[in-house]
Amino acid sequence: MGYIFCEGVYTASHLAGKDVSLKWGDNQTKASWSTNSTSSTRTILRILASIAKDLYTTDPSQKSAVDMWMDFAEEDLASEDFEEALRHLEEMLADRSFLVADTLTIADLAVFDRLLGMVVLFFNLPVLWQ
Amino acid sequence: MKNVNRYFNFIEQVVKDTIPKKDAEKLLKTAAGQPRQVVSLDTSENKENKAGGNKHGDGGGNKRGSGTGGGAKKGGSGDKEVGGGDKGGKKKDEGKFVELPGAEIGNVVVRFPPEASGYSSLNVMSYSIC
Repeated sequence: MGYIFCEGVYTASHLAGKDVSLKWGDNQTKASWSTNSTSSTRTILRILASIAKDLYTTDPSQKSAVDMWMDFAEEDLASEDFEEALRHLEEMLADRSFLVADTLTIADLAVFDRLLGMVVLFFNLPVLWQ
Repeated sequence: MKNVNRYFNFIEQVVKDTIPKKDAEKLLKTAAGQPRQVVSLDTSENKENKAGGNKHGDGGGNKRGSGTGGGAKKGGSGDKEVGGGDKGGKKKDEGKFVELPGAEIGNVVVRFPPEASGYSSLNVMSYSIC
């Protein structure tokens, strides 16, 4: 499932530089590099994070937390039961600004992209993902 | 969805600060600068959000730590102003504010700014030591 809103991926690509070329389609984003290509958002973010090391933190336990939140964004927030996931997110965010550590990570960008799909404008018009 | 909104606006601000301005305008298609918010589909939550009106998490500035700093805030439904110096003007945030018995509007001086999360942040606490 590709993103329509992919500001998070775009931000990561901006931080990573131009080693990976990204194509922005109507409903999916494709990344290609010298040997292969992919359209999985999770993979794209991981590739970009391997270039921009800050986005994946350096601590092993924090890395696994980043992985957990990325799965959360792709699976829990995208499932039918996303209300429950949002409530969980609400609890977890009570005393923190970033999901993991004190810096921006790809976990934040993945969750942000997913939230963007649920964003409701000022007039409460839901902008739904496809 | 208070925390999710705060988080969303905060990450959005980080994204805006990171990518070039030209691209930010293209990617972040908001309706005339109105803040976007994530609204739960729960009816009770929805009503609460409508009552709260135009909320805006203060994203900019404070990039680390828990609470989101920022000057004095108005109370949730705008019934009573707590503290004199409301710099934000348009900014509203729902926090846990204690009603001061017998306090007059405009005549209350606070040593520490009210925190959006309800908890004083470490950043602010450090002022009391130094």
